[in-house]
Amino acid sequence: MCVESQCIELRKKYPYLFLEKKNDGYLIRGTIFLEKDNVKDRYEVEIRVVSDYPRKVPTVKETGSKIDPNFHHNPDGTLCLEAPLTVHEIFRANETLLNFTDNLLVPYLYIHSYYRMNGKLPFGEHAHGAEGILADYKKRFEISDDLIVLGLLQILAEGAYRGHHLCPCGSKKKLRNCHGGCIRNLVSLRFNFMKDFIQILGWLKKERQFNVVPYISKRVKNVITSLKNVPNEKWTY
Amino acid sequence: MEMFEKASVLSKSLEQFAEDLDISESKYLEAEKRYEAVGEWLGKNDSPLSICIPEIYPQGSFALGTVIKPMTNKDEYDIDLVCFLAKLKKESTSQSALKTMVGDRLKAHDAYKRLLDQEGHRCWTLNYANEFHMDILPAIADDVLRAKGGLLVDAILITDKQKIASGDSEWPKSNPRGYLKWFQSRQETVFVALRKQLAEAIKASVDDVPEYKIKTPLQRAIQILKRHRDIYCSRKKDACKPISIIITTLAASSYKGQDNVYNTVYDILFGITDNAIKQAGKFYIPNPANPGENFADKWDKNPDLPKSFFEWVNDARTVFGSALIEKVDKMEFGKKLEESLGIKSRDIDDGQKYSGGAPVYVKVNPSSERRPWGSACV
Repeated sequence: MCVESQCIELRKKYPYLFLEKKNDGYLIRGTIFLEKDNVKDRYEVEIRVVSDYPRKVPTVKETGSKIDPNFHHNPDGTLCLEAPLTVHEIFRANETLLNFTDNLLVPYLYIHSYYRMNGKLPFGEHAHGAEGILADYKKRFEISDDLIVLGLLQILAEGAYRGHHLCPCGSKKKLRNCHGGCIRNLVSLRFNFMKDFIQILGWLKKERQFNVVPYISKRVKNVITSLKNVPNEKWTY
Repeated sequence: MEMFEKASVLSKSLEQFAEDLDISESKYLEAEKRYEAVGEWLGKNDSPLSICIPEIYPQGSFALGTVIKPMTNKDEYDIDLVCFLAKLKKESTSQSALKTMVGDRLKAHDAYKRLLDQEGHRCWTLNYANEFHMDILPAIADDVLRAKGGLLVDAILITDKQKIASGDSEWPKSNPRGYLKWFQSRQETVFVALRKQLAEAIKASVDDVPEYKIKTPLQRAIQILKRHRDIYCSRKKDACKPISIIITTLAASSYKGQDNVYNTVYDILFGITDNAIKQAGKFYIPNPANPGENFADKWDKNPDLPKSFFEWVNDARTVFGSALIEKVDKMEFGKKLEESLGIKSRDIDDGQKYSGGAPVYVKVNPSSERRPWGSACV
């Protein structure tokens, strides 16, 4: 489905969103009205759909100055809807603007409205940056040890899953009989785990004085070098 | 700004207004579903009408694609339908028998019985509260006119209670399908091109694009003019409201395939001259699908009708003519149009904010328990 027809579908449910063609893609602007339980609210938003959509997930700015800049924003001012893997997971399941709006944007806006009413978040939040990502993986693997999570994540980042290898969790079982299922599920999402892995490495090094050198393979090194050359990717190592 | 450039900016604004005035797709499909269900009921095997092979088809603005929103949220859309009994012959029935047959069959359905309004002069009306009025016009074939061929192959005979009561037993004539064919022929080239364009844009075949999705500049222009008329007449209480069929007929007659709504509106308005609608000193706006019918037949007897009509045309000329083209920016166009069309412009407030009316609240998906994150502080 092209962006125009996706927007037609979107507008059936969100009639106050309007599509504009731009040089580098599309801008969908307008008002979203939402309600759930006691919450009834409205937001002015700007959804940017770049030309290599749906490969790139849309980004959103809130234009009504209703959401405080300190409330879960990215450095470029766009809303930070969820951890990147979760965004990927939800959006790849159905690459449409309607799915994006229904299952990522509107839930985020609802969380903000709830927060303004109740002073707390309904489902909690991720810690910012790499810490939040690490915690998310801990939850997914049901493991609390940083290093074990890092080991599992390394397998994902390097694309090095082998069922007969020993599981990094210390169970002395083969991966396929241990955390393999969990890894294979994540592999099937076709997510680029390398970015998350490098970010977590950087954070562990800085905050936990952790020796990351054994984890820096040639491949990891190459990615770090290339990322350093990308503007707006201000990651620390 | 160059003149032609201005016309295209204006056209874009007008197009947006017309889009906002149009019936929504879901409402359109809803109406279609509703009348198809009525048709099915009338033609069901156990229906006394079934031997006459009844057919329900839309006529008027719903068929022409020129429906506009009612003036207020309380008003309902008018959907005009023909209930055509193909196998019933004039010789074997009477006007009142035909009318009663259709009415009785509607009354035999519990829901339709409840929705049925008092009997009209020509129609049976189903009132779907807060949604539609469906006027159902019982009709049979006009075999005499049909034999003449051309657009007349769809000519029908209809009933009129009032006429019968006054002692006139002649069947009134009509030809809505012929009129639709004529209207479609006026815009065919543009319609085909737009349909192809949309098909390409959504990577579908032309046949997969439903006809109702296409709106030509002619249809948009008619919607704009009808809305302007509604607003104009609601403010000027003593004016006789120019009827839609006259506006539509004059617009479609003068349409030359303009690809831009503004130019279409402009050309329609400035093409309406005394000369264009008079013949031998009398007002004459013939039905292109039924030459015996003059839409302006009451004008000579009631001079208020042409007077009101020309006053409205003049007002529309000031709105859509030079006064508008002199305004420089989009905002000013928008404001002027808002005032004359009685709806909000998308260009004001940057056009992007919701403005007025009943907002549509979306229910937050209950299974979407999200936890926001921030990449800000690494």
